[in-house]
Amino acid sequence: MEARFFRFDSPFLVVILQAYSFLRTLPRGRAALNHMFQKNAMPNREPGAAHEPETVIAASVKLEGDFQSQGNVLIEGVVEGSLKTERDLRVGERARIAADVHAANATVAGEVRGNLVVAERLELEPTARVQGDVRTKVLVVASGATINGKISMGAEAAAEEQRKPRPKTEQQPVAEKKTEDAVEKIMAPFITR
Amino acid sequence: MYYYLYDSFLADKKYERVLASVETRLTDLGISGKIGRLTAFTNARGLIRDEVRRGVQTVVVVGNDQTIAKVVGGLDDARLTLGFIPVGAPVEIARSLGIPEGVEACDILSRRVTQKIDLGMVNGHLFLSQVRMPGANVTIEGEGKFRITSLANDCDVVVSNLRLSEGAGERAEGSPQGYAVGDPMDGWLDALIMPRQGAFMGMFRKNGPGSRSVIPLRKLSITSEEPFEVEADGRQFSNNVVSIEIVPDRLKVITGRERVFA
Repeated sequence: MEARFFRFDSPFLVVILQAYSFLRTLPRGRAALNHMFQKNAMPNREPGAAHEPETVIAASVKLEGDFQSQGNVLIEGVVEGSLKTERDLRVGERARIAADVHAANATVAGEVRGNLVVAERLELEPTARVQGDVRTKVLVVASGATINGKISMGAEAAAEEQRKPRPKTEQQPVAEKKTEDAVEKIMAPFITR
Repeated sequence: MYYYLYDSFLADKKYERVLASVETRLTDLGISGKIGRLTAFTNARGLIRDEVRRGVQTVVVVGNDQTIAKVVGGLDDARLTLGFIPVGAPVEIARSLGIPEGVEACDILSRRVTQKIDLGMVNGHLFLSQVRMPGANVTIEGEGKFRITSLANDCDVVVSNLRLSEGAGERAEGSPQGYAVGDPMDGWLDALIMPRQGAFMGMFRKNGPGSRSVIPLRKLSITSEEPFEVEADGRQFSNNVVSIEIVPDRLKVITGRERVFA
């Protein structure tokens, strides 16, 4: 091609620039241009979002019971019981969770009926509806989200949940019961009813 | 010491040429060995057991995916190295292990790059790639701690140990795009649940990634009120209770560079 096509006042260059600007305004045009110049077309991930989930509960599935995962989790369906992950959790807009939830980071766009304990960052999107207590280090609440429950924030609140003593079981240990029975036997003659 | 196990369908004349080339190449590479054939009167379990007693440490399966299923299902406690020379169709399992078809597989065999992979066990039988339950109305109990049910009427359930390679046609659709489903070295099985669409709706809309559930599990049981069809590595049976669990690091296999896992 001749050099005169690439001068600043060249109509050829003007046409090219105008076409580029027009394409940038279109969603598909942007994707095509990104692909052409081999840019990474993946959007920047917000911290707390569950990217590349290893567990996916789709909208057509119901999970009941105690579910634990070591990886990222995406919920779009129904969960009842308890839900725990050591990494990131995303609750989709159509998801309905009736469970206590534990995660490292969480993004909620659906319904959660239960306590939410998030070690690092909890983000509630506009369609989030939380009915239960929330404990997290960092809380982001978008306009439109609803929370009905106690909110505890900061590093202390998240750490306190981990320090909580486990509830004692109601069943008495066998050794204690045997001792009690033995004492009762010895004292029985001296007890008047 | 290598032992080559040929499937019965290779007796067909159309495979003569490729088998002759394979045997010549194996001789050139210095890895030829005894040949055994699966027939109506012999099974893989018996043949392998006899050869292991004689000191064989590497068994090479010559055939297709169903041949692999017969051999893996007949391994019992035998600890040996498995190689493959894919001949015939389908050969998706071998492709996922990075092994090309025909004569080129001999070079992979001679390089002897081995990986220790997990196997799955379904109702007491070992399987290598996937267990498929198409169109089943089932309940899945995972790890004895939780239960999964589909809110759709019927669903396809696939429990995957080894992801089949993309471009393998209909079978590859069981692996949702964008998810690593079925790594035979991670100690987990991946259960996929996909709602079934009727023939009419299926023409207009395919199940997108958003409609598929993926759950990593080590042990699960699948139950239904009525018996349902089960296909494990091409082997078909029907039952109303199916128990599946992972058997980690169970088998050493010779793999190629183009395998679908690390």
